Amino acid sequence: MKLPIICPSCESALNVSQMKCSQCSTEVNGNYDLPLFLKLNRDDQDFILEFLLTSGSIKEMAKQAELSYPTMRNKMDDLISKIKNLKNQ
Amino acid sequence: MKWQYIFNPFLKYTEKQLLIVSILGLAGFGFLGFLFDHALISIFKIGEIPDLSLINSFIYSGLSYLSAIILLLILGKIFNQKTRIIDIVNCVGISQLPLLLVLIMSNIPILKNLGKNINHSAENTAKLNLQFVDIAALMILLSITLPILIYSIILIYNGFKTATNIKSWQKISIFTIVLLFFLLLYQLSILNLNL
Repeated sequence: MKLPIICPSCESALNVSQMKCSQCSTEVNGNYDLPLFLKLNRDDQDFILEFLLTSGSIKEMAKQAELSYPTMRNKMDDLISKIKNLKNQ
Repeated sequence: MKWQYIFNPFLKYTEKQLLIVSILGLAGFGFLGFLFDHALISIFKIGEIPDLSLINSFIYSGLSYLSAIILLLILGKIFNQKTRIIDIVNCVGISQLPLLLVLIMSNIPILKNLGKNINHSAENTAKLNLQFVDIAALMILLSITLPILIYSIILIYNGFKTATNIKSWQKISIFTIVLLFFLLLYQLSILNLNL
């Protein structure tokens, strides 16, 4: 199931208010920020995962995705600025 | 092949593939220009040069490519430090390829005579005497060359955008204005060189 990260009503970032142990059903309530990685959309998360799996090689990622190097680097630059914005919020 | 890649091949093809095609394009301009006495006076501009030697044909094409590469590289580096020279070289090289068709078309006899007729009338302020066939040929020429030119401009824009990752309208406007001024100044100065 896809984790919702944006409020469907006002489009603000969602926080975690409840967690539950899948073994004993213990519930923890609070108001926790989502980790930065989870604040990114699924495509961006996949991109970071792919970057990790290719040992941090944009060239290799471009090859696998059948895209050019500058296209992949631009995606990376866009993601970096997105993460910087999220960190500053 | 997706339509997207026809208008922006820089998204998909590797720099090596694009560079090979760019070099072949430059060679094409050199040899065909020599054969047809037409040269790539500047990027996006093909002009008739009487008795054009093979070396001068390559010099005209090479200078056109080189000047545009230097200009776009400087502009690209200002916009984005990560801009690579290979991406700018490919941007200029690939964007000029469609003009090879214009160069070939310029040697079709009816269009060649038509061009001479128009140039003669412009130089001597004589009345332009066009037959129906000439007007039809002119219309066909325009309907082919105009889309080619537009396609060429789309390619240089997409190539530069991919190489520099520019998105804001301010940077796109600066790119457009700088390119326009460069074309004007370069065409004026290259014709004064009298190669």
